[in-house]
Amino acid sequence: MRQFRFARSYTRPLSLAAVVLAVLAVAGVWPETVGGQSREETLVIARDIDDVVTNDPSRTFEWTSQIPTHAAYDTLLQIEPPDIAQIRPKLATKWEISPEGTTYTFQLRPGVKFSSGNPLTAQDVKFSLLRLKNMKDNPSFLVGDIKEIVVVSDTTVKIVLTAPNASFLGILAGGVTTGVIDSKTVMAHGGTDAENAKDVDKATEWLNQNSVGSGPYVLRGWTKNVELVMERNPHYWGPRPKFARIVFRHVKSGSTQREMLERGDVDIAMDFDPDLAAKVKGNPKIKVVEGLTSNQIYMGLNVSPEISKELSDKRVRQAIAYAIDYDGIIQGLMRGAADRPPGMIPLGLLGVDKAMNRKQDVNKAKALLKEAGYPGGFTVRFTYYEGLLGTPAEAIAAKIQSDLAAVGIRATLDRKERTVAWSEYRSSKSVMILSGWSPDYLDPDPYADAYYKAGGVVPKRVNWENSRATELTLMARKEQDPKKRAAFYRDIQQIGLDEVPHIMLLQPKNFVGVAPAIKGYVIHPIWFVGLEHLSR
Amino acid sequence: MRLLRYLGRRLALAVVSLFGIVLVAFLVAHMVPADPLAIVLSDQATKDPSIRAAYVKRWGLDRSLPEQFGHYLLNVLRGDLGESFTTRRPVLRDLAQHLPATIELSLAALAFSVVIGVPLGIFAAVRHNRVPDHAARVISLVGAASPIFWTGLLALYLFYYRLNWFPGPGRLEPYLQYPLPVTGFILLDSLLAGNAETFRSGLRHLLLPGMVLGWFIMGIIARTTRAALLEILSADYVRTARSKGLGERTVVGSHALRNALIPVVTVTGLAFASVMSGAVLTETVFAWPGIGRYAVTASTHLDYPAILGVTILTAVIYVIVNLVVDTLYGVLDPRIRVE
Repeated sequence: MRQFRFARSYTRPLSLAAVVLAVLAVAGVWPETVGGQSREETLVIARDIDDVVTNDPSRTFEWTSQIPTHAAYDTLLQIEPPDIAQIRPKLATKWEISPEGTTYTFQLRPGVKFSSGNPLTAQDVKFSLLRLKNMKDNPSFLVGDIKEIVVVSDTTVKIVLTAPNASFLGILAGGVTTGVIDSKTVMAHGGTDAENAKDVDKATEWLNQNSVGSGPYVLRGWTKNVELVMERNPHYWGPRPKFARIVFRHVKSGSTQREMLERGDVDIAMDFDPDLAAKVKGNPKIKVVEGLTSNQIYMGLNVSPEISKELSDKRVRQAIAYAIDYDGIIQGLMRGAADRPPGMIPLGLLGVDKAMNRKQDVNKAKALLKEAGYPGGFTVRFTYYEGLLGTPAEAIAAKIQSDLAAVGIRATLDRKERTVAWSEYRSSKSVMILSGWSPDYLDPDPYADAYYKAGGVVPKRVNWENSRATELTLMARKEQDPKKRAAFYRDIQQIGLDEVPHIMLLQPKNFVGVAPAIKGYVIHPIWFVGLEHLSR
Repeated sequence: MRLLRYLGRRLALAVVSLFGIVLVAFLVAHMVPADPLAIVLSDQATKDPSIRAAYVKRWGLDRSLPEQFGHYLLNVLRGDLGESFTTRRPVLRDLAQHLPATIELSLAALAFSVVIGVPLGIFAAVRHNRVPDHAARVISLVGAASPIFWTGLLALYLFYYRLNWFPGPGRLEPYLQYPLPVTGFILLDSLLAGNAETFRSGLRHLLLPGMVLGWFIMGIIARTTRAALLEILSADYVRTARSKGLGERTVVGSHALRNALIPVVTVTGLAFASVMSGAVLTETVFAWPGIGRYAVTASTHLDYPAILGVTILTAVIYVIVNLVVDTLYGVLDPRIRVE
């Protein structure tokens, strides 16, 4: 074959390629023309926000949604760490509880305006809570106990419950969806608080893109899986919010978030895990903020003999609980980034005392197994799934498998897709499962209800019923005296430690990467961060 | 007229294959032993039978499987792909929102792969079995053989994080607001809004993911161009052209290349399929809000309507691309115009 001379024959395609490459190169190294002022006044947060499905405060229940909902809609009361057992005033400055514990009267802060400019009155409080109840969506259960709401005056509102509920103040303080919305504006967009709101309310579409609360920031737009934008509320009653604009940018992976933070493209990276936090230690461009969450990682043990003959014996379940190397999991697998309460109520809440914690005792575990008639151990299916509130589920499951092997129990690891594992667990068919829980609001009652009361979310899944624990839960719910309440919760946890329908493994810490210039970042167990505290 | 009949036949076949795809996707999605309500509803809400009932009714989960399928098919024919469990919006609207991002990325990738791949192939054919040919082979093979999420992560680490030659993930600088969506294409929308900064940012953000995704198929295009050109350069009519005394440029550029492009067009069409599947991974790595990432989110949340919607959309795109490729053959080579 003849030789071709390159220069003559191929100049056309090659020069075309060269031009294109040059254009690409120029665009690639184009100098950044940042409007300095707007970048300075804009806070950019990188976070995995694909869980957001709605911004209607009567419908949201997703993790990310707690942040903008909290920032846009003030609640009557609030809770701020570190003391998460103390209820503080917010829109309500004073409150009174009737002796029988069913009537709550709130005095509202005078002169508060919504972002629309409308004044906030008792009528708006009534509208907001009733709409939340009647929308019959995920967060509606929070206010399921409300019988009626009476507007006494513009600044006084009375809420009557169907039965005494000592956790009601906790609901109003920690449930961000109980925030107050501007009834006039919402009604103008088709909203209603009527009993059939779930069928006739038309305001969700508008509330997905806008907000009308009295909080420091206003929702300005949301594009699913892309971004959520908030702006300063000019009518805010508190100190002027520091940022003109806050952008939540959807970035799924923590390590990408870290790169963007280090490059200065974002100010906050919310999805750090213990490994990443350890990696950036000493990095001058990243400040790591940590704080204890109220999330829980636990094991559920099915007590039904139809599901597992072995696990239906209390002694076997106790043996499993004694076999686990709790400190090894927290120190080794979590790099110390977790703590552990004794039972299923998180640390920091009423009646929780680490002195009650169970300690690993291999000999006791072996003795219990022998007593139960399984000196040689047995085989059990252990289900787990990835995506367990940011913890290394696979490693934890494998560690427990080896701990159990040390006492003769052969756990076969059963990894399932999260959705599949959940379905099986919810239909009460999992044998032994590694699972998690994140808080609805900060009070022991929802935990007692979900883990200890007969028919509660978890007891139902593990086929466990205990009449004393149920009775204590109901008594604690009615009790107004915190000391007596705390004693009830201690007894409840003790029953759980003895019966072992579930084993508390750890309460993880949360890590956030923050640019050194950003001040005021404090991790909140419910709404992750109060945007009003942040400044540059 | 014959062309129309030909197209009609192709379309009828396409409808049959679409039906099959929908049926299979529907069955596979429903074979997963999981309860979609477990994903949509909170733990507390599942306890309330009235909330459960409201959801079951809303998504027609109380009907039998064949009934659900029939209902779904009818709705699809009416242009209604149902409502997504996770976004709680019409799937069609979700797809319309996410598609432009994927098309923008795919076009950037295709442009890159053709602009680099075809000249690379020509270069390799001309310098057949010499250093440039081997170099081109290595570049092509590495591109085609590397897992795309790996190249993506590596490219981000090196060119964004270390060297800062390119911007980071996403379609825009994180602090910039998206232009008002008119077409959904950032480049067009920012021009329509007259916002130069957004346009520039959008263009810059397109480069790295476009190249990563493009590199993946560039190899195939370069290899095909090389092989086709080599074959044609030894054909009789090329020898004739040369013996007429035509310059090399005319021989290769006008006579050989045009015929060599037929397999290249086929491969580019097929490569579009790779781009779509590669887009799933690229979009995940580059935080690109397109169809690929929508599909990933939908499948991890067992969002049947969204999964089915993406499946149908992908199938439709396939069918359209294949039709276009078949039609292009005719343009390039009159002999295969219509059989």
